[in-house]
Amino acid sequence: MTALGRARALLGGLRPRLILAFVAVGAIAAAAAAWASAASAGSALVEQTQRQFAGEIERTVTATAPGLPYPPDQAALDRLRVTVGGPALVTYGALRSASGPGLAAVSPELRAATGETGRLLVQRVESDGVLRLVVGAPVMITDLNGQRRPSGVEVYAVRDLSAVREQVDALTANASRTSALALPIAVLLALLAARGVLRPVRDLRAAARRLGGGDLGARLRPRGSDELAELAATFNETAASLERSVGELARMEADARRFVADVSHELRTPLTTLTAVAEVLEAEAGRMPSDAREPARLAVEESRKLARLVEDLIEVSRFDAGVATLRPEEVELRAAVRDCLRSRGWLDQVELDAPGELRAVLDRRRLDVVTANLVGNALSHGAPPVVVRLRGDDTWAYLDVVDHGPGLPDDVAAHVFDRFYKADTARGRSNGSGLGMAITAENVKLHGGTIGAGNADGAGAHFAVRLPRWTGEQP
Amino acid sequence: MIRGALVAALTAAALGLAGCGAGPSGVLDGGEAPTGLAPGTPVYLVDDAGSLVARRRGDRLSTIGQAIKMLLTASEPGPGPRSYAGTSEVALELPIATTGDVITVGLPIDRDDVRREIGIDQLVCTALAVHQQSGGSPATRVRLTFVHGRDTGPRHCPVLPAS
Repeated sequence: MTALGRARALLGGLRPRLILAFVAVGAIAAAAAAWASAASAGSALVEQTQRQFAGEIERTVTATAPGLPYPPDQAALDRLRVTVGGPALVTYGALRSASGPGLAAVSPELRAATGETGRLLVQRVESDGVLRLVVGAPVMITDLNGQRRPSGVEVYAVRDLSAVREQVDALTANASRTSALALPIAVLLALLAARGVLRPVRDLRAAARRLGGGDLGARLRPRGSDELAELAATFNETAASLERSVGELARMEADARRFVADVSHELRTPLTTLTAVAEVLEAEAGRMPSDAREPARLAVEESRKLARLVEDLIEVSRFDAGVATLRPEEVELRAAVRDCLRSRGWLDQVELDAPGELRAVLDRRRLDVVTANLVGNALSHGAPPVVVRLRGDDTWAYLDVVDHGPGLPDDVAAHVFDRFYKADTARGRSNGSGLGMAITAENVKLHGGTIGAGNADGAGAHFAVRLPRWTGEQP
Repeated sequence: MIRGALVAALTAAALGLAGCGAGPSGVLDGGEAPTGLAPGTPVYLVDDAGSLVARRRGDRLSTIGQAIKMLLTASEPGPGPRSYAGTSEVALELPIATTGDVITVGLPIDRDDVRREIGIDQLVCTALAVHQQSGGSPATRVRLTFVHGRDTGPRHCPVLPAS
C-alpha cells in the first residue's frame, strides 16, 4: 500500500473526516480573522506614522518659509534644510542643499512626481533591509487671489520606519499565536461534535446487526429532531414492518401446520375402523366371487397406505410443532439394525457390514425408523445388493446405506429429503407416503446428527448418517 | 473535499504569517504641500483712484508684525499710491494675538492717526495678506486695537478672498 493509500484509509473514517474538517474550518477562520485584524491594524499604524511625518515636515517648512528670501539663495536652502532636520535635500533649479545618509532613497519617480503635483507626496522605500519613508514636498506660493503655484523649491526628507515595521511584525506574530491557540479549541469542538454525530450512527449499526441476526424486536431510541433522528425513526418503522410481515408469515405457516395436524388426527379414528373392516374383508376374500376379489384386495391395500400416510403426517406434525422428544437409551447398534432388518424380512436382501458390537446412547425407536426408511428406499428405488455399514469412533456413530442401482442425479440428491419429493415424476404413485425421507432427516436432526445423500464409488446411491454416539450425555 | 479544505487552511495560515508587513510602496499622496514663500512682503496702499493696491517690500514674506510696521513706516515720496494708515517709528515688535479665527493686532498708534476709513482696510488687508500667504485660512479675520480710541470689530479685507 502506498503512503497516500495508507493516509486515505486512515482518514477514511467518519470521525477523522469530521475532525479534520472542523480543524480546517477553525484554523482558516482564526487565521483569517487574526490576519485581517493584524493587517488593518498594521496598515493603520503605518498610515498614521506617515501622516505624522508628512504633517511635521509640512508645518516646519510652512513656518520657516516666510522668513526666507524668494528667489532663494544657497544660504536660504541650507537654512530650510537644517530646519527640516534629519537626512534632507532641498533643491531650487540648479541650487541644491543636501545632508544626511540615506538620500539615495529619494527615487527619480518621486522627484518627477513632486515637480508635477501641488501636493505633498510620500513613498516607502526599502534598501539594505531598512524601511524608510521619503517625503517629497513642493513649497508653494500662495498668491493674493488665493491661488497656489509651485515656487520651484522642493524639499525631500527621509525618515526611518524601522520602529513601525517592528510594531507591525509584532502584531503579525501575535496574530499567528492567536490563530495557533484556536487549533486545540477546534480539535476539542470537533471531538465533541464527532461524538454527538457518531453515537447515533454506532447505535444504528448495532441495531441493524441485531436485526440481521434475527432479533426483529431491535429498535432505536430517536434523539432530537435532526436527520439522524429521522433515520432512526425510519429504521424503527422498517423494523416494525418487517416484524409484522414475518410474524404474519409465521402465524400463517403455524396455522397451516396445525390444520394438517388436526386433519390427520381427525382422519385417524375413522381410518382405524376402515383398516379393521378391510382386514375382515381380506379374511373373507377367499370366499368371494372371483370378480369381486380384485377390488376388495385393492380397497384393503389402499386403506393400509392411507393409514400409513396419516401416521407419517402425524409424525411430521410433531416435528413441526416441536413436540417430538428424544428418549435416549443404551443401544447396541449392530443388534438393533439386525432386529430392524429381521422384523421387516429384509435380512436375506441386505448385507450388514459391522465389524463388531457398537454401543451408543440414542433413541432406539427413531434409529429403527431411520434404518428402515433408508433400507426400504434403497430396496425400492435402487438395486441389490444393498449394504448397511456401521462404524463408530469416540464421538460419532456412522450408518451408511449403499445400493447398486443407477445412483442419484445431482438435482435429486439436493431434494431427496424434501417432503413429497418424487424423484421419478413419470411414476405418479409409489408405495411410500412421500414423507419417509423427510421423517428420516428430522429424526437424525433431532439427535443432533447429519445426513447426506450422494453416490458411492463403483456402486449406486449412498446415504450417509452420522449420529452422536452419546446423545444427551457427556462422553 | 478534505484535501481542498487542507490546502485552503494552509494557504490561509501562510498568508497570515507572511502578510501585512509594512513593505515598500509607490508614490502616495501625503496631504497639503507647504507654502509661505513670496517675493516680498505685501503692503497695501491706496492709489489715485482710491483703490487698494498691494506693493511688495523686501525679498521675503516676513511676518504680520513686520508687514504692519512696513506699512506704518511707509514714506510717500512724490506721486504714486499713498498710505492713510498713519505712521509710527516704533521699533518694538507689535503684539499679535490669535484667538480662534480672529487675529488681534495691537497698533502703536491712536485711532485718530488713521486718516481715512480706507486706512483701516490697508492695515487689515496687509495683515491678512501675510497671513494667507503664510498658509493661513482665508476665513480668518483681523481686529485692530489702538493706543487710544475704540477697537475695530473683526474684519475681512475687501480685496482678498474671504473663504
